[in-house]
Amino acid sequence: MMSKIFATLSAAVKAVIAFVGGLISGFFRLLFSGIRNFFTVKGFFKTIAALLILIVVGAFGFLWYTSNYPNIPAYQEIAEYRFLNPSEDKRCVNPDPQNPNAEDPNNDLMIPAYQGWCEEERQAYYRIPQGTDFFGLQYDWMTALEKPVGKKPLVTREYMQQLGYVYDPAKKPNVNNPNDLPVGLTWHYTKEGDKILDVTCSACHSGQMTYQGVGIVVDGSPGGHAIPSLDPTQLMANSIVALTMTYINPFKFSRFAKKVLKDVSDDEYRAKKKRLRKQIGSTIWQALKYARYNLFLYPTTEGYGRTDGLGRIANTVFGDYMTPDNYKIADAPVNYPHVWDIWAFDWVQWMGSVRQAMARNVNEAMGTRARANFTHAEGLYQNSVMMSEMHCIETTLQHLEPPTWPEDLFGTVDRELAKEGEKIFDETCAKCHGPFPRMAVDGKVDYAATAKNHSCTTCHGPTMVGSDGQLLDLTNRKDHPPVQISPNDWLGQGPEFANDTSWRDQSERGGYWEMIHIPLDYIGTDATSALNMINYKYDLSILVDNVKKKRAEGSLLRLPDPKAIPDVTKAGFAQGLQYIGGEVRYKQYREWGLMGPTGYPPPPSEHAAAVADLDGFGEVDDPVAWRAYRPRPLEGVWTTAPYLHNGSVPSIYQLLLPAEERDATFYVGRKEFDPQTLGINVEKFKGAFMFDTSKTGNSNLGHEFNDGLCGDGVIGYEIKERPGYCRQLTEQERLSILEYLKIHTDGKRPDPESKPHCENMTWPDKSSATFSAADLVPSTKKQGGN
Amino acid sequence: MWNKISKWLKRLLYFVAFYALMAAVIFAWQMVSHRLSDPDADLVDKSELDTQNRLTQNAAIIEQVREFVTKNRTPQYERDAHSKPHGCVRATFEVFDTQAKYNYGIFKKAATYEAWIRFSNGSVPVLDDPKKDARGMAIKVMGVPGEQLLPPILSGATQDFVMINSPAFFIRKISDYLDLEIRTTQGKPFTYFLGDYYLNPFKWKLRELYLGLGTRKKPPATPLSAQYFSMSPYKLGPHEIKYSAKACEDIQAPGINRDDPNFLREAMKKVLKRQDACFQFMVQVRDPEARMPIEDTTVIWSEKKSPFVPIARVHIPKQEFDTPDQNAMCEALSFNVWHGVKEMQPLSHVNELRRDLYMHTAAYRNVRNGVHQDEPTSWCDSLSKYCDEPEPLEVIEPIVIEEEELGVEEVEAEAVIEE
Repeated sequence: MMSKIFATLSAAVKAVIAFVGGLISGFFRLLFSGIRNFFTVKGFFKTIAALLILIVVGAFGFLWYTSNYPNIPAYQEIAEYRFLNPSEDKRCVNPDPQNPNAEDPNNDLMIPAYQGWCEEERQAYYRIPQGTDFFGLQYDWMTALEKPVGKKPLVTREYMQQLGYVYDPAKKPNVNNPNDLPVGLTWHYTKEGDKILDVTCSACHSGQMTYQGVGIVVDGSPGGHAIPSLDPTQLMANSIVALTMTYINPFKFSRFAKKVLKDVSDDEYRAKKKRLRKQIGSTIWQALKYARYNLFLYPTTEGYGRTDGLGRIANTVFGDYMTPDNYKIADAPVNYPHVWDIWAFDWVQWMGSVRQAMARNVNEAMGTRARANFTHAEGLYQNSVMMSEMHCIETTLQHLEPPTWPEDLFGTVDRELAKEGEKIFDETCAKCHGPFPRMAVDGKVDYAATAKNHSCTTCHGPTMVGSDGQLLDLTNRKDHPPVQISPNDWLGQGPEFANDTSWRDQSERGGYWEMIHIPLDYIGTDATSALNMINYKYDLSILVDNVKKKRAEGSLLRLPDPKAIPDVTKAGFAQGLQYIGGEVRYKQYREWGLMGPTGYPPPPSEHAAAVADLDGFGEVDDPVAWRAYRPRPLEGVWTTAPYLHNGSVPSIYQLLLPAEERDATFYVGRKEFDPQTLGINVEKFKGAFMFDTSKTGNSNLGHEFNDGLCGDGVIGYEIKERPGYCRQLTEQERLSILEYLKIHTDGKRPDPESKPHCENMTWPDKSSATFSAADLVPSTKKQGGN
Repeated sequence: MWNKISKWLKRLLYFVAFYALMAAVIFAWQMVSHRLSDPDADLVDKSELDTQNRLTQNAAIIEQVREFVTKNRTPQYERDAHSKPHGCVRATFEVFDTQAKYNYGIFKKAATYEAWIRFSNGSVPVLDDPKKDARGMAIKVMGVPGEQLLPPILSGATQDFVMINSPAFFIRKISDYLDLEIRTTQGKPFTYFLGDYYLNPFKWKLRELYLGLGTRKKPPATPLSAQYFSMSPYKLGPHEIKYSAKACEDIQAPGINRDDPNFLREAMKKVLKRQDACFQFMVQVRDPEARMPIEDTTVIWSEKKSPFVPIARVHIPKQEFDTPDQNAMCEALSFNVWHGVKEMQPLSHVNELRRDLYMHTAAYRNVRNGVHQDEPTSWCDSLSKYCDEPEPLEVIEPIVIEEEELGVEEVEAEAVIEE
């Protein structure tokens, strides 16, 4: 009996070996006979066939490997979630009460707000879309997709958390999140009724840290994923690969269609399935087109938690949406900034380049692939940016508070030590990090405070080096960028500003906190981001030609302001986006009936207040590109590692060291908090991304506390008896600053004075969709297609 | 067997000969092509972008030098170049009563100033004196009137002159400077001239190698018997100049063992024990028509077209200088061409780099070493032992160069310009 079984088994094994061997030897025979007779027709095709087989088998093997053994960080289960900064009163309705008995005094029907938010605001921030569209990927596709090889689902909690995406701590799907996707992944509708996957603000600007198995929710803190990555193990590329495999493999497609079209009635099914197939094909095609141009534009790998924001916005808006001539190398990845206080800033972005919230948001949405048409006159400026939704998000953020240090989790704060740190902070750090309140009591600008807060050395260092690297010529104040230092005293107010009141206007309305710009030559941090923004020029002529065409037909659309853009083929990054973003913004305002007969901001009208509110405190969109970076207030900054704009320093402790003592390489991809150094654990681990500070854009120099002359990257600690000279901090001083930063507050937070402005929001109402995929296709082509 | 070896040896020989020939051709080509080109053409900033890149490189160089200084500490943090001093001597800087043409900055009128002079060897890590090396002479003239270049926080009332004993530098570009600095910190400076594995002829910078080796010279008899050059250009009022200090006489120091690793210091000690020494301080005014570039400091300005004209004298009195306190004071001093008055502003990108580089390196060194040295105002300000010296500074009548003597040179120079 046994021997019979054995004989059968061995025969089976032999057969398999013979079969596989036959396949392999057959392949090689095909290949070699092809190569030998390569110059005959038969031989040529044999070779090609053999190579094709090799490629297909190789690709399949590769996909099988990446599907099952991707080189990404290991999964870390989160047993418990913690929120920070509970409010004193229980003002929020508990969405998931454990003890709903109203009679019981210990009921948990009402709970505190965390970071100033109740569940309603949190859900709004997590899921309200902004209009982004990644190649037409649809919301329902994400959960229906299988891994490129095999039948396992692609998007699982485990996989997504490995990639650094975070999940709603509520742990179960809700109406805003029916498919249980990570925070920030949501949907919007097109006119055709398609439910497009929408990557919204919170995808990158809401994070969680882990600490010994506890997930710490820090709303508004930087995200930790690598969403723009074209690495096939990362979400976007993997989805496209999986979609391609679905397209190729009819069985896979049937399974996919069954899941996506589960609510479709039988008689409609065939037609819908056909349409679905067409849509998938179109998405794959768009993604390939994107990859063709974008594959080599990002030589410095961004890794987890970073993206070259400005560079990608430019390549999308000026490149993808206009002309391939505008693609520029974007080698300056930056951290996702934290957002619990940005609404109060009068300058945003790491370089402090943009003033107006709505301008920044519109451009950011387009940079994150919200659709827009600039290339053909018909439907010019049609776009999928959802401005009322973004306004709701922006105003919801006004109520978000910074995280506070949970002493029960991370240990008590040594108040004595913190007091020492506070002293150093006040005399050194606060000089730049502020905050500097702009509004005095009765809504007027408090110039006395401004003057007290800033002297020339605040921005230029004790050695007074200008942004051009030259020692400052104090007599030549006209060359200074326009900065107001008292009611009638301006730096840089040359004659050209005599009739230009925009600067004055905006400084009087202004944000709540005044931001300053520290020239590169003083702060010494990686210059690539700033220099790319300053140096790159873009060709807008396609768009401008379309505008001219429209104007010839009687339209009132604006041409670029020749003062900002003297040559439309060489528009600066800031000016170009100001123009394009402005047009997109005004188009929406016009459609809402907020603009005068010219279609542009009229002299004060009954709508002025509404427009000012949408823009954000009536800020004028007047971007700058200076050789400088902008310091920001530091409350809650301990949750935002790694540090500096490019994420090149793993902890605040290292940020207080001389640059040569910082880690030259370290490993990112998880956010395990380290309460000792106020940073994240950056030891090597499997699947980590190695951050190499020697690469372009990754420099960890600057912002150092070192010995020698202050300036050129050395920002402290200034020796009191020797002005202009700096020294290292002592270990005790470093520890005291760390201790203080745990409890540092920026003082009284400005009061936004209102509820979030979400009345005009239409999401998720299907019928209100404004954008159609057809808007992007020129009408001639449309007719040709019919 | 032998045949095989000799065959391979022959091949090796051909290979070497081929490379030698190639080296000779490339060297000749680099020398000739540089001679025929406009040396500043590729060096001036053509756009805002060039300037920005240069500034970024300047910052990187400073960072690199900081690292180099940290690496080469002994355990004191030393200069990144010219870290071996032969001594710091007291001197007087006597400005002549010269033609109006030169009457700018410190040369405005005849006067005598107190000064410190520091003599040094160039290489870091330090070399013994008998070895080939660049020798430096840095003068710090004190109590100079006029508006200073640096902001008050960093300046005193000094005018520094920084020179070595070669008339030309061997680096043309700031980016090359950064490259050399990185490779020097890695401990393989020669790869800068010859490329990573020496074999790629496209990476060869043979002209610069030749100039670089040229700056390493056999030691002079004493530091007091050589001629030193500024290499880089400076303003002098409306003119552009280079300057030089030339020993008045070829002082010998008999009885000094020239194999002693520190014989230059010994020789200077011996000489100054028995006699005064002196240097002629000369300037060479740039002729814009001639091949006298500003940015390219590898080009020697022709002395035929514009000779060096003596306009001051450096007088080094008999003295004993090798004392611990004086040596320590001298080590803490910072000699920076930007310690000076506005009318003598340093020119060229190299000098622009030197401003921040020298300021930062000096401050870094001093703070790390725990010393503090402001710009001195006099000998007495530097060291208290010179305060109660009985005889006051001997005021020497300004030496008036005979009009004819200077006149002849002037006329010649002008004649050349007219040509």
